[in-house]
Amino acid sequence: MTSPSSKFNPDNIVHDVLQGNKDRFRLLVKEYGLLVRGFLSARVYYLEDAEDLAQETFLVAFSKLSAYKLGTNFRAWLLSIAKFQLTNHWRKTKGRANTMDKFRHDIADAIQPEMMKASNQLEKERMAKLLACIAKLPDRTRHLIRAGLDGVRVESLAEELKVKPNAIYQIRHRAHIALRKCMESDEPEPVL
Amino acid sequence: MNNFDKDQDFLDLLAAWHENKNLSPARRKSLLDRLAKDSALRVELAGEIEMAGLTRAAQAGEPRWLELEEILEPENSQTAGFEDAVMEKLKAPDSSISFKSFSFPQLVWIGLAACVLFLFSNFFSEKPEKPGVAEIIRFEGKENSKDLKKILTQGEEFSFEHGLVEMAFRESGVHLVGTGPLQMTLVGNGRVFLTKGEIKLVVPPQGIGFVVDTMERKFVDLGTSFVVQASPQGSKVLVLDGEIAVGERNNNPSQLMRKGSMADFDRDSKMRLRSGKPSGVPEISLPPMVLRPTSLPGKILGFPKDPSELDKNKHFDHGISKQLLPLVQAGFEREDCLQGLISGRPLRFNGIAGTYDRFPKAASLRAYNSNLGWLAWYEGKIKAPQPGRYRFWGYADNHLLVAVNGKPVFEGSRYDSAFRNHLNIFRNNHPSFPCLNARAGFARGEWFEIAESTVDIDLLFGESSQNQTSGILLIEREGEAYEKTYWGQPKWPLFLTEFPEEKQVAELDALRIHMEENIQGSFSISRDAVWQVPSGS
Repeated sequence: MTSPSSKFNPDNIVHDVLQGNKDRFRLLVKEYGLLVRGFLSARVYYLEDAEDLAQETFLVAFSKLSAYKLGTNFRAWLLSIAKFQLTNHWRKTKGRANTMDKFRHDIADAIQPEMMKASNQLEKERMAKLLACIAKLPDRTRHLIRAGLDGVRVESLAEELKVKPNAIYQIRHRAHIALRKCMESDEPEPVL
Repeated sequence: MNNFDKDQDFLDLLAAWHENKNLSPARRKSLLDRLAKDSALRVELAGEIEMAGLTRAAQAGEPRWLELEEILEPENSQTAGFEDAVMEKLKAPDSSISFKSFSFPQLVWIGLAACVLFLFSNFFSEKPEKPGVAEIIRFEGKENSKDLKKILTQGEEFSFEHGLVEMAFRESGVHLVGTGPLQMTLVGNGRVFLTKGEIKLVVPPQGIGFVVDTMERKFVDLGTSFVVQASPQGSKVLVLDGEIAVGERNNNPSQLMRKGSMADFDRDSKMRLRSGKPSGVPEISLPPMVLRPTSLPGKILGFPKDPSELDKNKHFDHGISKQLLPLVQAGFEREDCLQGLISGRPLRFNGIAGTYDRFPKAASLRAYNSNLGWLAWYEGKIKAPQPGRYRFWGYADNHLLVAVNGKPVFEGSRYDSAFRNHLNIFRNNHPSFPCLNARAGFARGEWFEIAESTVDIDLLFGESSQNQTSGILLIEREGEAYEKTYWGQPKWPLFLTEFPEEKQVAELDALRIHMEENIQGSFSISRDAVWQVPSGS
């Protein structure tokens, strides 16, 4: 399940860019931007770091584009660059990492194959549905998902919603399951 | 099928992943053991983390990737090096007309047409006016405002020594307020070169992309309001709202700065970001300053604003911390370095915690030169709550120093403080213990011994320039068990010489909660840790 949008052929674009039409690279950024940003946002604590690494991924991809073999999997090639950026980032920040940061790295190591599989399963056209699916969530759940983005801590959120912190993770987990279902369905139905 | 949202291991793993929740070593080990064995848990956790990342990225909106944009720009629109472009503009202010490629016969006809037009236009006007770029709305200052032109043209240099100018750029609507001494060149409709002085810009949507150049950097507005300051030593920028891109003089990648960020640029060094985000650290309101017999007194010091009040034989361009170095070096015995400085009303020590942006004003330090900073100096005799070995923890943006019996025992200043750079006082940084918005985290000093008797204390705290000031000062007693935050930082007590009043306790509590929730720093307020000022000392 690694094929991107059926109408989109990255190889044609790569060919054009290598011929000197570098402006066409924007199409690749547009097509795979959310995939790469999502991949990194899942693995990096601060969203700003994830965005910087995503840009770095595309900068490297652009500079090394001639190394990509036409006819192979562009998406996988791009994610391998993102993964390399991530490894570098972890290596650089390792010196500053505290015990719990190190524990996060241990978790990441333990589930790395499953995470790669999960990101491979996210198809581009399904991702495009994500925002529409989020919009269909109940207000309270949507607020909760948004709060994660805004960096509101779970303890504060739990206090605000008058629930226990565990309940926040439970609601988020259920919301994510519902979002996955919504993204996979042909006609997104209201979820939850 | 497992019901993971009721599985405590799953929830703890999520809490550790998303919130760095503190777990005991045994718990961490048991979770990793289970992860290694349980493939269903791994799949569920991976899916959950992946979805969380995707929802974060999707909701964050389209990022502005300036480096990528610069690289993907078509060749013909690539600009020359920044400095070249500026110099080109300064040399030829009207060089905005660009020539595409033409054949020689075409050029001949174009040349003839240009000559005819030139003669025709000269017939009516000997001196064609350059296009007006900006209009002066207001000028307040010593210069004769009648001598000032109302409309400023492209390439024009604009300068004045004293006062304030307000102008609007005609095409973009960009609003500029400059304070003297000011020297800048209006490079074009969307660009100024600031040589000296301070300007504040408010850029409306149509003015996005407005550029302020200094010798060190170019600041490109992305829809915002910001302040740029230039001097022979370097430049500074403070983003008041929105965001800006900061580019180097060469074509190196730009860097984004967001609301609340402040950065210094030296002539020979790289950008030094003072704070990436607004600190949001609360400012404690100033408690009553009326001194009691048991208060630790202090004074606030600054340089006079009016240069005529300065000692003409001395140079006061090095900032307040350097000015007070002789005082510290002489064990606080020699006060001649204070000559020429001005002071506000007497201070009463209430601890150091939080933001101090309004402090100089609240302490009545009026007409001081804010560019050279201020310092509060508290001194007196104090007695420890009990004998023992103590050490200070803290940090200040910018200056913080404590001396006991004339000998410095703690220095917790920012990197650019003279206290830090010239006094060589022992200090350890602890980045894993977050402290206000300091990347260094809490700094700590060496242990020092305190007996039953009173000791002399001298405490210096202040700002090097302008008003983004914050600080915190805590004290630890050796052997004392302190409550810890869930990420393992001891909540050392605030260093106090009087227990604060109820209102101030509430404000300090709000500060502590802010620190715990936003930066994972903390402290405590303890009656048992209050140092006493012997009555009448």
